[in-house]
Formats: sequence, C-alpha cells, structure tokens
Amino acid sequence: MAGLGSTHLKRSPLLRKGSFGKAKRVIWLHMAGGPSSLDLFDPKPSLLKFDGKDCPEEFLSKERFAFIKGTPQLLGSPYSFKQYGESGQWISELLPHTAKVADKIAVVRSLHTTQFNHAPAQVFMATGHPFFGRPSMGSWLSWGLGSLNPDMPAFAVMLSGQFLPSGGSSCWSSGFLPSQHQGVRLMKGKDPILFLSNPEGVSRSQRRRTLDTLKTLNQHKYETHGDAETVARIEQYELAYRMQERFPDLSNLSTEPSDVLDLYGAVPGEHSFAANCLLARRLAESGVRFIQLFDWGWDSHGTGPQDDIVTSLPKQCQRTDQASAALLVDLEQRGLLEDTILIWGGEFGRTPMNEKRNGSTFLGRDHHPHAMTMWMAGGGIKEGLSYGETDDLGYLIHENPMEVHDLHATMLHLLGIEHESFTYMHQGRDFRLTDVSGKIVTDLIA
Amino acid sequence: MFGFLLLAMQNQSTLDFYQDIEPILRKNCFECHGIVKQKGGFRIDIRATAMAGSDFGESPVIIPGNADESDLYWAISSTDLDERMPPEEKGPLQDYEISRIKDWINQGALWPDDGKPPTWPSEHWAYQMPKWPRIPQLESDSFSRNTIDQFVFSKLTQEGFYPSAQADFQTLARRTALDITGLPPSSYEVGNLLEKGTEVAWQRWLDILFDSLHYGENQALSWLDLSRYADSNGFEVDHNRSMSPWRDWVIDAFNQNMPFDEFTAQQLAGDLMESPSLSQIVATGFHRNTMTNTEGGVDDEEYRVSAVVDRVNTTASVWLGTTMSCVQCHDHKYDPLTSNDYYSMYALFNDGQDGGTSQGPKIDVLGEAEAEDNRSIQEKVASLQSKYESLKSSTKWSAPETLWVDESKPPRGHVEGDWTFLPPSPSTPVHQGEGVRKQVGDKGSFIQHFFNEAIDGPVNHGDDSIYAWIYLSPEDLPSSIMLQIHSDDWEHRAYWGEDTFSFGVNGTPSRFRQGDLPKKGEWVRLDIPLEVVGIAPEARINGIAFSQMGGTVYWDDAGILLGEPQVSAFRTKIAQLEKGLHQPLSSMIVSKVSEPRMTHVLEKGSFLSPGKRIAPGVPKVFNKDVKGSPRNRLEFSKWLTHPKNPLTSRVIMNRLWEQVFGVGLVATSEDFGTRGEVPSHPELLDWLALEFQRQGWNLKAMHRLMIDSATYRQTSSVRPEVILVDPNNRLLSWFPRVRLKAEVIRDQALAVSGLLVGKIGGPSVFPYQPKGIDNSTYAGDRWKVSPGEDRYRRGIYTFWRRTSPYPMFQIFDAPSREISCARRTRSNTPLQALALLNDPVFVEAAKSLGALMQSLQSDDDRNRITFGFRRCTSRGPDETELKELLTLLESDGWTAVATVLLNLDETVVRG
Repeated sequence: MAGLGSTHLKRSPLLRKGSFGKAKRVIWLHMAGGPSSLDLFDPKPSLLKFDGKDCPEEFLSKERFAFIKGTPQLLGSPYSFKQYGESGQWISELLPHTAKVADKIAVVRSLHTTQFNHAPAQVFMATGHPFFGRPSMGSWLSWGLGSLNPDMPAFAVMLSGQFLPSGGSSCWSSGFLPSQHQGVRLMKGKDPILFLSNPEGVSRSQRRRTLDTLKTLNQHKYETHGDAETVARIEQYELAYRMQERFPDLSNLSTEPSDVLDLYGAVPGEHSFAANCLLARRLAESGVRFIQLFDWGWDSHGTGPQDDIVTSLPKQCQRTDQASAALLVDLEQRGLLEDTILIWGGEFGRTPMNEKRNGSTFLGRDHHPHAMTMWMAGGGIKEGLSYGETDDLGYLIHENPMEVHDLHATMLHLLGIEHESFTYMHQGRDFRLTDVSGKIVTDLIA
Repeated sequence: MFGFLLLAMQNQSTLDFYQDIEPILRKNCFECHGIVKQKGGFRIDIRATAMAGSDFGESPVIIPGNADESDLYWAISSTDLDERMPPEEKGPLQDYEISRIKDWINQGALWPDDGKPPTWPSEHWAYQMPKWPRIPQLESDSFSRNTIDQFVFSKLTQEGFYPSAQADFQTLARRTALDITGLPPSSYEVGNLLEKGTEVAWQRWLDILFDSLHYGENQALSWLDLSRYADSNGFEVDHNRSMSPWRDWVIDAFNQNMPFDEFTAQQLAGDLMESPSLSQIVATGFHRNTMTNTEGGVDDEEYRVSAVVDRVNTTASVWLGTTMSCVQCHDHKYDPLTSNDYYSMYALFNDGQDGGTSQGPKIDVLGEAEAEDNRSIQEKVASLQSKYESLKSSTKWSAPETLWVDESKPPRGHVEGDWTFLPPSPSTPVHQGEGVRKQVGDKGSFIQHFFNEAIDGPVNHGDDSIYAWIYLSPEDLPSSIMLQIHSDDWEHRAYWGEDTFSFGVNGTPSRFRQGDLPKKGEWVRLDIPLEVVGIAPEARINGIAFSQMGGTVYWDDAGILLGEPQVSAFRTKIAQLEKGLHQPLSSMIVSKVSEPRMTHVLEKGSFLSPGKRIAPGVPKVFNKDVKGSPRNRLEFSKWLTHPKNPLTSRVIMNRLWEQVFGVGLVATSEDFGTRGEVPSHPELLDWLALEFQRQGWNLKAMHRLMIDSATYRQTSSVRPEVILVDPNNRLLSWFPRVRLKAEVIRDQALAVSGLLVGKIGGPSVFPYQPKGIDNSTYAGDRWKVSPGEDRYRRGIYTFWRRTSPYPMFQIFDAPSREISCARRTRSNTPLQALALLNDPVFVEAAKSLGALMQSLQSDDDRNRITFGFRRCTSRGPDETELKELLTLLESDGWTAVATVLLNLDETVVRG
C-alpha cells in the first residue's frame, strides 16, 4: 500500500522552512484524451475570422500530426466566450460552473508538451518522462512524504468514462520506486479496493477470529526465527482489517447531505465523474496525499458525433463541469482548499485546424502538443490569475511558455519540496520527477 | 523476543560515515570531485584522496578532529559566494548537513578504510578480468561442504562469528523445492528425505528437483522479467500478441540445461547461425519483446528506433550489468561510456526487419507432439481424400436446386443495397417468378447488393454449392462479377471475368476465379462449390453478396445446390478429421534486413536528429582484453561470453546468487558500474564467474553448487549477536528468509489445495480476475476467462497484459514488463493481505484445502489439521499451533483453518 505505515514526512531535509510549502495534498483531474482549449478557455477571434481557410504554411512545414493529412483548414470555435468574475477570466459557454469559480482559479493557457500521442503524453504528464518505467508524481510523493494518515494509502486513483486512460496503469506506476508506492486504484462497485470484501458467507466476526488465529501463529513462529518482516506482515493484516471497515464507509456517498450531493450532481451508488469528485474530497479529508482522477472521452477528433466538438464535447462538459467546480467550492468551504492543490487539464491541446479525417463532415481537432490550457487552484496558487498566451490562431505559445517539468517543479515547490534535490538513486543515477529541467513559475504563486 | 533490534537502531551517538556522511557527499560533491572529474585536483569519494591535499595546498582537505582547520568544512560553510562549495548554481548545503560534517570531522572523521586505492573509471573493479583467487582455508574446518563455504565462512569467522547450524531436512526439502521448481514438495517427498536423512538421499533429492520440468518454468520467471516478455504490444492500443512459443523455448532451454553461452547466442543471433533451426529462430524472440505502438498517427521509424534503443539498454543490463540508457543522450557522467559507445552497440541491433508499429516478422511454430499428431491426421485425410475424389468423379449426380432468395422469398436478415424487384417487360428479362433485380455499375464502378445475418441460412452438407441466376445485358457488359458468401466472415469470394476486385487474395478462397464472364444476353446459372470458397462442411451460411464491376446485370433467384449425399458424407468426415489438426502458434522473431542500415549518433537521443555515422562495435572499456570488435549480433554474442569479457559471467553468477540467497554479492545486481555497490565477497564472485566458465557455462551445475553448500543449508533464524554488526546479513551468518514471488505464491496455493494443473507450455491463459480490470481502450482483446483446467495453470502462463497486469501479481510486486526488470522489490502491504484473504483464486484454494483436510481418513481432527499444515509448511504443527487451529475449527470450520494456513507468514515465505 502506498506509503502506509509511514506516519509523517520521511524526508524532512527536502522541506525548507519559510514562506513556501503550504500545500499538503494534490487532487488532479486529468481529462484523458486532451480537452480542446480553443473551445473551452482560449477564445480566438482570428480563428473564427479565418474559419475554413487553409492553415498558413509556416505552421505546417516541419509539423507531424497524428491524423491530419494534406493542408488542413482552420476551425473557429462554434462556442461563445465571455469574461467572468472580477478577474475577467475568459471561459466558454460550455463551462458555466467553472465560470462561477473564475476568481478562484489560475488559468494557464501556455502549457506545452513534447508528445502528440495519448499514451506517451499521459505518461509524460504523470511521470515527467514520455517513456514507461518512471514513477508517477503520486508515487514520488508517497515515497517522499508518505501518507497523512497511516491507515490510508498515500496515492489513490479513480477512473471514469468508458475506458482506461491510454497510458493504462503506467499513469499511476511506481516505476523504479518500491512498488508499494504505486497508486491504489479505487474500483467502482462493491469493492472500492480490489479484494476488499470478505468472501461470501464470511462475516466480519468470523474474519476477526481467523485473523486472531493467524496473528497468534505468526507471532509464535516469529519468536523462533526473529525476522522483523513477520512483525510487519502481522501489522499489514491488521491494517487490511481496518481498511475493510473504513473504505466501504468512505465510498458510501449516501451519508452525504443532499445539498452536497446536489452541489456535485452525484447520485449515491451511481458511478460517475461527479461521484469520483465527491469521493476525492472524502479521501482528501481522510489523509490521502495524492488523488488522481482520469476521465476518458476528451479526444475530440470529429470522426463522428461520438467524438466531435459539436455533439460530444458539450456532453463531456456537462458530465464534468459541475462536479469539477463543486469540488473546488466544497474544498474551500471545509477549509481544505488552502492546503490542497486542485488541478484540471489533459495531456495535450488540440489543433486550431479541423481534422476532417477521411473527409469527415463532423467538426473536430487533432492532437496538438504545442499549447494547452490547464487550471489550478488552492495550495498557494494565485487566485483569478490568467497566465500565458497563445498566438492569434492558438497554434503556438506567444507569452510565458510553461513546460510539463515547470508544472511539476511548481507543484513540488508548493508542497515544500525542492524539485532538484528530490532524487532517487536507480541504476547508478539520481532520478528526479523533473528529469533534468523544470523551473518554478513564481507568477503562479500567491 | 527481539528487543535488541530496536537497540541496534537507536545506538548512534557518534556519526556513522556510510549512513550520515557519505550520502551528503555523494549527493553534493561526487559529480565534480569523484571518479570522473576531479575539479581543483580534489577527489572526495574515497578515503585515500579525501584525506590528502588539493590544488590549493598540501594541507589535507579533511583534518580528523579539527573541522575548523579542514578545507572541507571551510569550503561548505563559507559565506563568500565565490568560495563556497557547492558552487552557487547548485546551492549551499542544508544547515544540518554542514553541522553534521563538522561534528563528524571533530569526532575524528572516522571513515572505515575500505582499503581501496584511488581507482579511475577504467580501473573500476568490474572492468578488470576476474582472477582465480586463492581459496581460503579455515583452520579445522568442520562447517564447509564446498568451495563457496570456504569463502563465506572464512570471512564470517574473520568477523568473529561461526555459521548457523544446519536446518532440518523438512525445512531444506521445502526450501530447495521452492527454490528450484517454484512448487512446494509433497508430504511424501519431505517425509522420505527426513526419514533417510543421508547424504545419498539429499543428493538424490537434488537430482529429482533439477531434473523436474518445473525447474525450467521457475528459472524462466526471472528471465521473462529481464526480457520484458508480455502477451500484448504495450502503449495505448495494447493488442494481444503471440509470443508463447518463445516463452516455451526459454522454459525448454533451461530444462535442457543449455549452456549459457549458447543460450545467449541463440537469443541474440539465432537467425545469423549457419542454417538455423526453427528453434534457433524462435529464440531470437528475446529482442522482439520490445513494445510496438499501433496508435493512430504513430511514426513507424520513431518506435522502431525506440525498440532498438530498448534492445541496447536491455542487453547491457542483462549481460553486462551496465546502465546504458543515460548514454543514449549524452556521455555517461559516472561510467566511462560515451555516446559513440552507445551507438556502436546500437548499430549491432539496428539490422532487424521489424518496424515500430507492426508485429512482423513472425514464424509459425508447432510443438513436436502436435506435429506428430498432425502427421497422423494428415495421413488419414490423404487416404480418405483419394477415395473421396474417385467416388466424386464416378458418381452421376444432378444437384437439385433449393431456392433461398427470390422476390417471393426475400432474404430474412440484414439487407443492404437496392432490393427492388422489377416486373418483366420487353426490356427486362426475368428468369423465374414475377420479378428481377437490375443492377447498374455506372461508368465501370463497383456496385453490390447483399444480405447477411440471415436467420434461415442453409448448412453445408459437405459437397453443396451456391447458385445464382444472372443475365448480362449485351449492350453494357461488366468487367467482372462476383458472388461472396458469408459464414463466420465475408472471406469467401468467387468471381468471373477480370481480376478487378481488391478484396481478399487472388487464387485463394478469399478471391477465387471461377471462369470467364458468362454468355451475354441469356440466363446463366453461376455455381460456386462451397469447398472452393473455403466453407467447411457443417458450417452455416448466412449471407450472399452480389457484386459487379460496371455493366448492367439482371440478378434473379439464388439458392443452394445439394451435393450427392454419399459424397457429402465423405467430405464431412474429412472435415471432421481436419478439425483435429493443431494450429501452429506464431511467434515474433528477429530477421535481418537485406540492405544494411546506416547507423548515426542520434543527437540527444532523438531519431529526428541523426549525427555522424558510426560502425558496429562495443564500448572500449569492456573490450580492453579482446582482440577485434564484434561487427554483427552473432560476433557480439560470442564477445559477451568470451573468456576475456570481464562482466558477463560475473553478472550472471551474481544474479543466480541473488535468486538463491535473496541479495546478490553485488547488491545492485543491475548495476556493476562505478555507482553500483562493490561486492560483499569479491573473491567469491570471481571464483564463481571463472568456475562457471570452466564448467562450460553450466547453469544447473552452478545452481546446484550454491544449493549444495553449507551456507545454503543453514537455519534461517536471525542471529541476535550478528545483527548488530551485520544488520543486512551480508555475511550470510544465517539463511535469509525471503517472501515468495507473486507467481509462486499463487502456484503454491493451487498446489497445496490440489487444484494446480501442471501442464507445461502452450498459449497464455486467462484465469479469473475481477471485472473492470482489463478495460482496454479497444474492444476485441478483452479478458475472457479460460474454460476448464486452464484456470488452474501455473502463473507463468497467465496472460500478461502490459497496460493492466493480472492484479494479484501486481500487488505482489510483479513488474508490468514494459521494459526490462532486473530485480523485483519485495514489499509487504495490506493490499497483499487482502488479496491472499479474498482474491477468488485464494478463496477457492482455501475451500479446496479445507475439503481435503476434512475428507482425510482419520478419526482425529488433529491429524487432519496436521495434514493441511504439512502441505503448506512442510512441517507438522506444534502443540500451541494445533490448539489454536482446533479452536478455530470449532468456531469457524475447515475453510477458515485453510485460510489461516494459506496466509501464514511461513507459507508465503521461503525460510
């Protein structure tokens, strides 16, 4: 179990006293597939003006696309944008709930990545490296900081949407860190953690008696061989027993008052992104360090109504907008927001051009690594900030480019960790989440 | 009780160099003042130079007992930013680090002398040839059984300790069985060894274990981790792949005790051997275990390059214990390896036909027994076939038409295209009934109407045909016409006229030419014998497609022509026999491109930035003593196992040692470089490496030597008096208890509960796993639980899906096999407890073991419990244990007792 048993900060040298390091935990809402910034957060009047025109050659000469062939045409957003709140954040009509919390979030419109396929881009976002085999951020924190509660995992993962994220379990892998730091995937259905329930016909009291016998026998044998691992194993069985009680309660949303359920749009017993958001808050309250949600279905290519920006994208937004904003509001009203980094985003952006795969008449955009939007809140992030700009077409970053490593470095900073000192020796080399780069974006910090 | 453990941890009033100081120096100083660089003429990673002077003077950098006079303390505590170390861009040391170093110096700068003279990268121990060491002789040695013991025990006694006593034979029976075969011994086997208790019985026992075919399965487990074997491609579109013939090759190679040099050569270069056998070609699958990416828009070259890169990294790690991956982008910071070294090795592996997005080349593989089966089936078929043909030619038969589709009998199923029937007229010919379909292919275009999913489709009796009546309009002829039959799929096509259709493969049942265009201007019946288009006897037909390329064609009634019953029966019999034929399994292989590829250094590792050209070769630092440099994979494989290669035999022996003793002699078994750990018993490692070669790279012999040692036969109880000085048991004063591997835990539970099916080899299987685990993005390759015995096969045969590994394995530290894994961690977590208690596999095992105990012929529950206890631990319970279990039996029954037994620490640990 990720970080279980480690009660407090294990690697205190990494923590610097001083003004930074307010954040204690992270909740990361990953919209898997790559949400379209140009239809959600980044209005481009020029794009609308040149809608249907060929994309300028200067952008295409050295470009590689996943699906676009030939010279593509520009695609203006069919959605209207407005400025919201005192901060005047630009947000599209597709995200009315996010618009209401505009003054609480920092919107970064200048994040870029190096990867233009889902799996490597997601793994890059999660682990700081596009290849498989590195630890994900949650695992790094599990290893470095441990759990806030010895009875809870440090790193929990929840999935929604039809499929797994493309990167699969590599998105929450512990990589070369000891494997107990891998993300614990919470399942839908009766067992929120795999194998949590006793087998049919085995009552809790019966299980207790079985464990008591087991404990006695293990203890008895330990006295002859003296292997400390045995003592640890006895403890793990006891912890498992406590988790059996704890987790079903935690994931049972019916104990939430109806106004909270309504705030999220969650229905107890129904698996949804909204339910996952509410559960994320409950996990945060009970001491989980890093909570990551993956929501599948943002890959708006426009090959048909199931993945276009006219029919499918609004549905995705309806499914997720209210709950994302509700999570922020809920965290704040419980005083959790100030030490929780809440982050929303995908693995890459989408092209300003219409993909038109095989002559499709549905509107859609291809993968675009050069610019994407994310928003962050809480944990020391500046409220109501608009950071970074893309060019007139939304193709390249125009101002304040921010790399994935910068994002990680900044998040670690907020968690009180110097990203350059936060290393793990593996195969003779010191590895870091930020690999060999990453700079702290101080503008984002309150 | 073990209170001394706590004492050991708390007793630290003085600073310990390796625990408190070295990590600080390593993190902050070694990069510039270490083995590779010595800025300011100063090196601080070894004692000899750290205590000497620097460019700034002869005064020692560290003066024991006097921090204030020591340059080291002065440099790290200076407030002058130009003078302070580490330099400004790296930032100062933390306050606690500075004060710790100060205290340490003032305490006398105790730096346990490792006796190491200053070494330089090329002089690193692992790059020097192993030398036969002097074998230590203990005075009045009553402990040693073989040479290994002489090395281990001489070091142990030098530290003032004696070895532990020998474990009893029931412990040894279980220990050896799990170590050698990965399965627990039977109670009979344990009893037999214990009862006899002689050297002869012991040696006989080892014979049995090493001769067991389960030995190969057990040895293959770690080799599959190293070779990143999986049954899926990886990346987003994690489709299934067929590699099980390669996996079976590995099992078989271990079972045959193939010499390791041969084992190496076949896997790295089997295809380049002289007239390679099928088995040698299959062996090359080792390096086809790289991932392939079939995601849309993926650049084939990008992923081909990344597969070659993986081959270099994996080869370096598996055989040379060397981390090459850094050098892909830049010269190594700590080891004497350059980008040139990297790409010269890359050039060796840059010769395969395989791309980054597809699975070819592959080869079809059939096992010996299956091939034999097939031969006998084919003989029978051949004799029936000739009888069938003579019967068919001698039988007079005019097949009756059975109408299936007409305007009066529209197809009952899914229809597409134009299904309007026109009434007859002077310009509209009709064959029968009231109407006909007219189909026009404008300007030579393809046109088709079809139906499928018919609910009333006929079954092929054996020799049936499909017919359709057509009329070609003389004024507007098509270039070709085609009838296509749907059974399980549409791959059954017959055409007349030109070869204009692009579907299927011409000349096969998927596109078979039946003849020229039929006569124009009259009604003609098209017949297709179902045999010709590959519809087997007893197959149901559920659709027909009527196609033409251009022209105007009238299509009328269609149906089935029944074959002569005797002939049909004959054909059916042949088909039934043929169903018994074993299908070969395909396996991915390495096959050389005909035109050699040029290799370039890739700047910063990017395939888009090729730099200067580079020739195949090996890193110079490993090649000091071998003449010439390998130019292809075959020569390279010989170089790896050349007597002058300093690394391979050490690395392999160290890994075997790790398997047997829990930790390698070099604890970082994946890294023999300058940042790796130095060996705990360097002479022993050298001796093993040379003995391994002397014995002809004989793995079983070396494995047996380790297991036959007194070191191995010690008891596994922690030694209170030794743990204080040797907390990690590197001296091996007791035998280390080790938690079993994921697969072995599952295999053992199935074995002791009587569920295990010990069948060896074959395609990977899908045992039960909870729903929702294997929810891949793409349909089609879902986890379908295997029927019958395949659910109870050994874990090595469980289908390995990279993006969603079998959960119980993942929980018990199995890697995802995306990249090579040299060493699994051994964690101890509550999720493991939950899996052993509640995973349906273990629940079923507990029920089954409970039932076995219950059904034992005995009138005493004590015997029944003892029986189950022995199955799990190889020993009988003592009175305390019996009493506890009897109490539980009374309250909760046999399954609860079995659950305890399967979950015992002793059961999941090899002690």
